[in-house]
Amino acid sequence: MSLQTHTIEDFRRDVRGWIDSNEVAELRELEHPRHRSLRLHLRFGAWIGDDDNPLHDAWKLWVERHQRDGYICPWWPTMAGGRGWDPIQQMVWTEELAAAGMPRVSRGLGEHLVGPAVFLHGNDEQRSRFLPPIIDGSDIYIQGFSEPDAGSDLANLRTTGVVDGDDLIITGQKVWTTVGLIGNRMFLLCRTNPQAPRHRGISFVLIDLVGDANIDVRPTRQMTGESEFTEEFLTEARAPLANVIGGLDNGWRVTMSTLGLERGGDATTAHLALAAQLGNVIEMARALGRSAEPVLRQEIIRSHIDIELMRFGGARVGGIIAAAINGDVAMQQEIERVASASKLTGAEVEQRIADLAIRVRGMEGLVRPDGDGYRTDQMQYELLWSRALTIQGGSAEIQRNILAERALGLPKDPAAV
Amino acid sequence: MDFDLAERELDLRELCATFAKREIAPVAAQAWEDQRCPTELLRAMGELGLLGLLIPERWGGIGMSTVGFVAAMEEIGHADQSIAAAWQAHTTIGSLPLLTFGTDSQRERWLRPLAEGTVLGAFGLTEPDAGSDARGIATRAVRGDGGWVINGRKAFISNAGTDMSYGVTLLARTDDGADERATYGSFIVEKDTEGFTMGPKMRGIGWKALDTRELYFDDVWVPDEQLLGDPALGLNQFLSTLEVGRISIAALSISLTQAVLDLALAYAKERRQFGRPISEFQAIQFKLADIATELEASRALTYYAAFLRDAGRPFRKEAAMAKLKASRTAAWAASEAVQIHGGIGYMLESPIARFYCDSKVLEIGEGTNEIQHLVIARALGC
Repeated sequence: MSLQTHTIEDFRRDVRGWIDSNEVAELRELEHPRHRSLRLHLRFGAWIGDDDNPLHDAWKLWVERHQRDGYICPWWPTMAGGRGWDPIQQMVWTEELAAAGMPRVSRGLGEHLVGPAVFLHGNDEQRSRFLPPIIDGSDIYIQGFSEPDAGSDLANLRTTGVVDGDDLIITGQKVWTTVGLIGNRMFLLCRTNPQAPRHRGISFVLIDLVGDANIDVRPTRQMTGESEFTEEFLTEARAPLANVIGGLDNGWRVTMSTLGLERGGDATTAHLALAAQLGNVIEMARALGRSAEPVLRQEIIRSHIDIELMRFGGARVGGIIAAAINGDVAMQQEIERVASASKLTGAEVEQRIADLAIRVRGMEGLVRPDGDGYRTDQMQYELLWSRALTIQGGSAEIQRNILAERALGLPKDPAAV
Repeated sequence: MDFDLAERELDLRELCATFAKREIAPVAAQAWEDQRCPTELLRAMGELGLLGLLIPERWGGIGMSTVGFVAAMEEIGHADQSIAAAWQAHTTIGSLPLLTFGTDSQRERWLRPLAEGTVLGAFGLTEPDAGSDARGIATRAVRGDGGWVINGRKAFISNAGTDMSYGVTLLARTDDGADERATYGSFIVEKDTEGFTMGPKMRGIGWKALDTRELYFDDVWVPDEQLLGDPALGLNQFLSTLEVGRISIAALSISLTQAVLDLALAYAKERRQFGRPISEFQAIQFKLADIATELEASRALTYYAAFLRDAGRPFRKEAAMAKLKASRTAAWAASEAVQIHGGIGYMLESPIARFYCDSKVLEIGEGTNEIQHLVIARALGC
């Protein structure tokens, strides 16, 4: 860690002061379970739902204050429009927001994947064209990576990109797109050179979803009963060649480094949400008169230790990310190695806590609340949602392969060569 | 040692396999989606004699062995867990207290229709504030006017609210002594009895086609002939019934594990990544091998507990072990099977997602796994 304790504490005092003077108290209401879907969409960078919701104006005001003082995408480098915060500062920011009960203003995948891809691999023209609309919230991105035959084997993707003058004509199908219905733009991978080896002929492209885009977006329903995922059918959809990031046929390298940043970025703050989740389990065990049960306490303590280890691990990953964002190529490769361990641990710990919560609660935990649609309460949602965590964004098996091969130097899985 | 099923048990298993494939499998997903208990299927099972499986022929059943019941459950539960859950609740806790503790006239009046499959049976123990601790129930039956007046509330009761339900057999306090001295009795309450009402069908994470409700008893009067067994020994009566219920949930669990293994294996052979079926990857092969191994261990324990019951030997510990092992295996195996399916397994419409959602309740229902641990520890002498 590069920062001295007193510097961190100064920083903490500063951001706490900013939050104190700018907080919009009504937004604490967002913590209520009935706003779960709204919170999910806010995390992906969009207000979705009724503009008459009294929280809508409060949210607008909160975002405007962030924008006015430059607190959106604050960890981006200054040349990209951010404040150049390192991950420790980010962690402190997140902690202070949580302490104040205020939501973080996120620009979703635009902030965490597209921005880094553009500022690390894009050219100046692309930076000035694509980054400001992410910061001001006018561009909301969804991810077009997985395909029916390209899940864990992402390099098997079949979507094609054919150069036609100054454009790329894209045809194919994408699946498991998170919150696909809220985006106006997609970042996708397509095969632009079918003759090249699997990993070499792929391009990373930004494409408009609105208007006559020849892209059909269809919702699918997951275990939670919600339709957070979509599938997209692209039929000769056009994107300017100027929207290809990192150069034609170079999309694999762009993808791997930005995925590592995403996985690693989560690692710096993931423990905060898990600590809150475990806190809820403890509170429930107390309410049910079960908090003195020794075996149950062992399980709670095991999760607590996991969360503490994640806190320390997250700080280390944070340091590596800081160096990577500042252009340290060795650290960009290092991220891929450490981020997989962080992602895997976080996913498995979250699944275990969600399962523990349901077991502590008993039968009542399995009965969904009344109301329209497919309602689940917070703990039920966490149980069902967490099942996806070892599948999405690179399955647990893929993360273990990455660790084995890149972190430990073991030979490639003979079946996957 | 003979690990083979008897001819009669094999015939039953084949009958259930055919019924499950032809009648249950085609409609199960829709019933789950609609959250509707398909009583037409349960009636059809009744016509085949399956609703009186553990009841002697004298009372309208087919007098099958417990081992045969487990074998039948393997087929029914493999097709759908909700229907199997309704069937097992009827067959065990819904019917057996009447057989074991009822008088002949009670058996004739209430057990025979249950065994012949014209009505569906339910048992009411759990309450909003008393689940694992059966002694903590608050529902009370007070002696008076040549009968009993019942007041209280039951929660998570299966099979009481369908168009095929006859009512419920419930447990109530009969004497309000201090906890150690309190006594409990079992009572039969028919569905149209004045003061007996119920809440709407609960909406679960899993077992969505199972009818589960809260039941309310407000000054419900029942005559003496609706008291089942000894008015002071109802708790022990119920607990002994629960031992069979544990074998039943263990059987339901192994049927789920077999179902998710079959689905995951078929998918792994069909799904190609990195140029070959994922079943060729060691990580996937070992997962499947582990599921198959744990399944066989669970199956062996479950059949052994069933065998002990059929032989008239004590089986409390073994039933608890079977329920603990089989339900834990089922929940774990369902999760692993979803993992093998990847993204498609997380979609609500996929059969594997349905089994995953159904798996959670197995560790909690019919005595939580913490209770099974306690039963086993006590049997070990702790």
